[in-house]
Order: sequence, then structure tokens, then C-alpha cells
Amino acid sequence: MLQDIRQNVVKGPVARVVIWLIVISFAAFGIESILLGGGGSSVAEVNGEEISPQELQQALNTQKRRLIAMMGDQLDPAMLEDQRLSSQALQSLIGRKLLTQAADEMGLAISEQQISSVITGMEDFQQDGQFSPELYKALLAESGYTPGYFKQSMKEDMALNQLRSGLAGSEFATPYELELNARITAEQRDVRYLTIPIENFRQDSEISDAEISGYYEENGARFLSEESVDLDYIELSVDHFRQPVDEQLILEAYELEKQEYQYQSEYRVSHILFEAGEEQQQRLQEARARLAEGAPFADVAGELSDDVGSAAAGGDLGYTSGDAFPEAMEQAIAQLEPGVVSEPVETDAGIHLIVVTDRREGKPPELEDVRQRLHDDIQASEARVVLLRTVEELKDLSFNADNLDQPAGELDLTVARAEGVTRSQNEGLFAAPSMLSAVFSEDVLQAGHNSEVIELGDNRFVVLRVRSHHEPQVRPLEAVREEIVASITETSARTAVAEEAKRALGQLQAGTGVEQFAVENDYQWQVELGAERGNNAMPPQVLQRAFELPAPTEGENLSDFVMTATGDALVFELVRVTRGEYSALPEPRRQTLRGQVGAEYSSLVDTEFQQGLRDAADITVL
Amino acid sequence: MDQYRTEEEQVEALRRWWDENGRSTIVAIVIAVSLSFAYQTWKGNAERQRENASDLYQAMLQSMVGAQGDAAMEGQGVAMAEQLKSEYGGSTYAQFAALHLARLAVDKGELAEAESQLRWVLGKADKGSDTGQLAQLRLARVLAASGDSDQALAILDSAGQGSYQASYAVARGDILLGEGRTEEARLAYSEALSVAASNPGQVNLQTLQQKLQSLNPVPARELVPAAAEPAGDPAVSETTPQDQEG
Repeated sequence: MLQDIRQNVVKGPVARVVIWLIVISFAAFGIESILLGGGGSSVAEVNGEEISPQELQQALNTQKRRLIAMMGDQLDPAMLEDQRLSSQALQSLIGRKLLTQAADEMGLAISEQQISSVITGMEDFQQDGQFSPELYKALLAESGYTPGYFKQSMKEDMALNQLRSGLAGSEFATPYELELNARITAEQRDVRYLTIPIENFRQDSEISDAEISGYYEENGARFLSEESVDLDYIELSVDHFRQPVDEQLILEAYELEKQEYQYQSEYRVSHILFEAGEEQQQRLQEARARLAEGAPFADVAGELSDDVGSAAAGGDLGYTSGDAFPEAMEQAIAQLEPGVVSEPVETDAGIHLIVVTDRREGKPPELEDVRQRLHDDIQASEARVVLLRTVEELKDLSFNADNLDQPAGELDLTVARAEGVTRSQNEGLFAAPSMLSAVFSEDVLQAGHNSEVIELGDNRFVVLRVRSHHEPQVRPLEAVREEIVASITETSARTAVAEEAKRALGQLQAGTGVEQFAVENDYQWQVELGAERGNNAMPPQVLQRAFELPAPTEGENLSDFVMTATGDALVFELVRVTRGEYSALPEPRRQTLRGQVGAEYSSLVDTEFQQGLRDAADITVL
Repeated sequence: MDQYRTEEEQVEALRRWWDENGRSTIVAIVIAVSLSFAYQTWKGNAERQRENASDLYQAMLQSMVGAQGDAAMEGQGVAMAEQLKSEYGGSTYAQFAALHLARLAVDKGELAEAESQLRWVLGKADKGSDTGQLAQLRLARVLAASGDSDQALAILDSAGQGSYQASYAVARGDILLGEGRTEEARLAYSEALSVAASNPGQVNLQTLQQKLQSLNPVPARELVPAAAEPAGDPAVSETTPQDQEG
């Protein structure tokens, strides 16, 4: 090819065109687009722009961190599986890419200075109110970003922000719209209501066997047992491997224990230091003379000691348990009676006069006092070693076996049995999410294999297999008889309440007021004047139904009833409907309404904008 | 491939080629280099222009958001928006700025001012662009607020709504409801709600739902006394309330 070019070069005009093309393409696109172009491995293409596997991985990691932070211990490990998360993560990456392209097309761009001033202004990267480049790099490295990538995504964030602020963020609510919406959202309705309690209609009537069995026949599907499994399992914990402990080991541990610092005697020490120099001996003699005359040690130390640090504190050096000071000092300290000034002691620092000001007598524990604890510690740590070794062996054996007896036999373990483990198990060994997801995994439940060895924390391990699987079944009549009786009783009580409610409604619609009916029939009644949609004094069912009704014509009432979840009936009449009026609202309500109407337009515009981008885009998921 | 017998001949061939084509090659290179330089300069300038507009817009947002009723600070924001419109009139930032000026005007009740800002955006925006479609929608709403419902409805019906079908439908519903054309308003709101529901994003449309509910009342149960039954019996039958969605 190069030869061809040379040939053509010699020939003439074609060559110029070629050279031109090369010059122009380098000038316009830069050499990197030719050297680094198109890797070819991408997970999706959005309008021809690729999303790389790395980007997806980064998005996945962020999502996982968020999930873990949100759910903590309750997190089912299955939720973190990549396949589950990756389509979500990919969709949000695609959405972001679309927005970025739209921002770019609109000519939104963030300058280098702007992004720098934003980054240096972020509190996370500041130390003592100043931007710290070290902190910045460290934090980025910690979360897996390079500075270049971080800056780029910050730039994108800012551009997307500008985009949103320009389109959705410039929404408003016109005075006309406020008036219109206030009419409805601030509408008030006057309601009177009475309660027909179900208690009045519950009675212990005899229910015949025929009725019960009839009900059972008709409603069998309501009396299914829960799906459950019976399991064989091997549980391993430290306790299984506890062995008698060699007495010698306990004695060794006891010897070690005695050495520990909390059992050592401690001395509080003061000193006067004379550093090497011309007047060293002279000053030493002066000090000794004054001490002999009875001058307090602290005073002399304060005046004469060359150890400036301790001199101010009367020579006090604090406590030592025999290893804080140079050997020569410690030897002298060990032999001193409290309050007696030592002979001069020489160390590298100079000559010291030492006095012990306090002594804390340390007493090592008796063997019998700590024997149990030492014994247990040694036993547990020995057992843990055996446990972990056994777990490794068990993993191999149980993976290759189609039962648990064989691995148990080889490792001298026992197989236990558990019955009736359900998906909603909430107590016992199998309630842990990791256990349940193993038990009801396809591999264990359908294929009948041994599970993996599951670690439960606290040095406990379990391997299990399904012995039998119980599909949901209709429970026998005798087991559900009481439920049926309760159900029939409840149903007839509810029917009776509904009948009573209809009777009340009939009278209300014939012109009897709520109050009159309630008093005559001994029911509680209430009135709620000017209730709005957000009212929380009224039972929610009444409120909802009262606002579903059309407005009654002037001077008339509309009545209806609703049933609560517990079975009570609430019979009500809607007396009056008053339109809301914007100008009559208190200022805070007006402000809320302005915000609400604007925000609805704003979020609608935002989703429609994004959906529009998606509809117009050419998206390929590979 | 030509074979030259000696090096001298090769040099001679090259020299000859150079004599023939040298001048044009140099001219070609010079033109290419200066063209690319000009292109880079133009691109750099355009880029700087965009970034300056961006900086100004960002500062404008900060003043407007930070103002919280502080007139002086808001005034600064307004001044920056006007500057964007005059100095960077061709940029999207200028259109965004005008949309924000329209918002402020509406909040103050200055509908004529809002109208002129929105018309400015319409003059600048490309046909079918997002800013254009939104300015159109908002213009209709502002006109309706000024009492010109007919023109508002005409704009909403004639203009390309593009991606904003639900938003347009809400606006149409509001205008129709204000005109007392409740059945048409109900249809418009229903359209808005069903379009919005078909998008995957979640939107809080509480007031829209309330408006729709008030246009879709569910009548009370009607109890019809069955005259033949003896008194004391639960002598009533009922018609169930019709389904709200029905």
C-alpha cells in the first residue's frame, strides 16, 4: 500500500488529494480518534453512542452500595445478583445518556473554571475550610473514580441540572389555574354520620354440622396448608468439637496471664535530674543536703531539676509497672520504700535522685479463679481449628454425595431432622434469609441436591437437603372447624350490619335526619363541618365516599353508607358543598397550592420530555 | 514498481517531481493547515461563547433561587437573564432565561410581560424543539389567564404538542373547565391521566386526580322500598353504585 502511494506520489494529482485528506482529518479530529477508536465491546448503543461494560459495572456497584446501605442485615443476598440489578442499572444509564445527548445538542456546556470552583467548594473535599487536593484524590480513589472521570461526570450532572432547570424548572401556575384548582382542592363538605358497630350483631348461635361441612365443601381453597419441607441437615458449631483440655496448657496459659500488666505492682515516681556538666556534682550535693534538712522533695525538684517537664510538677513522672524507665532507675525503684529518697542513680540522661510517692500493690490471680476461663478459651480455639478443617472436608464430601448420611458417617457427625419449614419461617435455625433462600432454591428443592455449606456467622455452619416437599393441601375438616365457625359467625354478623345500614339509609332517604335515627336507635353520631379532602378527623371511608358523591341540590341531602374493614357500617348524609376560593385561603395554603400546581406541571413536563427522548432514540441493547 | 539504477537517478527523479509539483504541494499544505487552524479557532470561540453563556445562566439561577423574595437579589437575576437574551440571543441559555422571566412575571401577575417573554422564546426556538413546544403550551395558559380562552384553545389545538400530550391535555382541561364545558374538560383530563400513566416514570398528579374525581361523581345508593313486603323486614333492595371508571 505504501508502495502504491509512492507510485501515485510520483504520478501526481491523486497524491495531493490523499495528503490533503490525511492532513485535514488529523487536524480536525486529532490523532487519538484514529488510534483509539471503537473498541467494539459495549453493552448498549444509544443513538450510536456506546455504553461500555465498565460504565455498567460502575453503575452496578453504586446501586449495590445503595441497597446495602438501605437494607443492612435484612438484605437477601439474592438481591445483589448482577443479573437482577443490571437491567435496572442499564436503563438508568441509557436515560442519562439520552439526557446528556439532548443537553449537548442544545449547546449546554460547563466550563473548566466552573467545574473546578464547584469541586473545590464541596465540603467533602475540604480540610479546615480549605480545599485539600490530597483528600480529594484519596476520597476519589476510595470510591473507584479517577479525577478525570469524576470531573467528567460532574460536568454532565451540572449540564443535566441546567437542562432540567430550563425546561421543567421554569414552570409556573397562572392566577386562573390557582383559582380553578382551589375551587376543587379547597372544596368543603358538611357531613353527618353515625356508626353501626358490628359488636351489636355478633351472637353465639348454634351452627349445625351440615352448615359447617357445606361451607367446607364450597370454600376448600381457603383452607390450604402452607407449602413446607422436611429437611435433613448437619449443623456444625464450635461446641461440637470441644475436647478435654490438657492441664499443662492451662498452666502455661496461667503463667502468661500472670505476666500481664494489670497484675503488676505499680509505683508512682518523682525524680530530680542533674544533667552532665560542670556543676553537676555540686548541685547534687546541694540537693541532698537540703533534702536531709527536711525540705520537701517536690520543692527541691521544682528548683533544681534539669528535667523541665517534670520539674513543674514537683518531679512527678507518673506510674511505672517496671518497664517505663531505664533499667538502672527501675532497679532502684523496685527496692525503694515509699517516701525514702534514693542514692544517686546514673543513666544516660544524667544523675537522678528518686522517690516513690505511691505504690499500688498488684496481685496476680489465683489459678483457681481463672482456670475456668482459660480452660474455655483454650478449648474453643482448639475446637475452632478442628471445626474449620471439618467444614472444608464437609464441603467436598457433601458436594459429591447424594445424601447426607455418607458425609456424616465419614466425619463422625450426626444428621438432624427438621419438619415443616415454610417460606415464611420466622423463628429457629431456618429463619435466616440465607437459609431460606438455600432451602427453596431450585437446586435443593427441585433437583434434590445437597445445599452448599452455609455459614451463619458466629462459627456455625449448616449443610442441608430436602427429605420431603409438601405442596399446599386442603387441611382436614376437623383442623379448620373452628375457623369455619368463626367465619360463618362473622359473615352473618356482617350481613346483619349491612341490613341494618340499609334500614337506616331507607329512613334517611325518607327524610329522617342522622341525629334522629341515631338517638332513636341508640347509635353514636357525629358531625363534621367544612371537611376538606385532607381531613383526618373523619373515618377515611366516609371522607372518600362523601367526596365521590355529586353535590346535592340546594336544601337537600344525599345519604349513603360505607363498611369499615372491621365490619362496622358508617351511615352518613352529605349536607352541603362549598366551593374553595383561592382568595379566601390563608397565605400558607395559597403558597402550598402554588407549589403543588406548578410542581405537577413541572414533573409531568419532565417525564414527558424524557419519554420523548426515548421514543425518538435509536437504542440497541446488546 | 519502477526500478532506478542508481541513487543519483532516484535523487534526480525526486528533484524533477519537486520542480513540477513542489509549489502546489506547499500551497496545499499551507491551505490545509490554515483551514484547520481557522476551524479550531472558530470551534474554540464557539465553545467559549457557550461556556460564558453557561456561567452567566448558572449565576442567574443562583440569584433567582437564592432570592426567596429578596427583591434586590431577584433583580440581579433578572438583569443577568436580560443580558443572556441580548448577548447570547442565539443560545438555548437565552431561551431558558426568557422562560424563567416568564415564570417570574406570572408569579407577580404580570401576564402581558409573561406573554411577551414567551413570544420571544417562540421567535427564537426551532420548530418542534422542546423549548418551542413548552413556550407554546405556556403561552396558551397565560392567554387563558388573561381571559382569552378562545385563542388559548386555538393555540393548543393547532400547535404541535410533540412529546407533551399529557401536559397539553391538562391545560386544555383547565381552560374548558373554566368555560363550564365540563364534559370536554373531563375527556381532556382523562386523556392526560391515561397518557401520563402509560409513561414509566412516576408522577404525582394529585390535583389532576381531584379535578377528574369532581367531574366524575358516583351517585348515592338508591334504595327502592319493596312495597309488598311486611314492615320490620329488611325490606329494601339496592342498586350498587356504578363503577367510577365505567
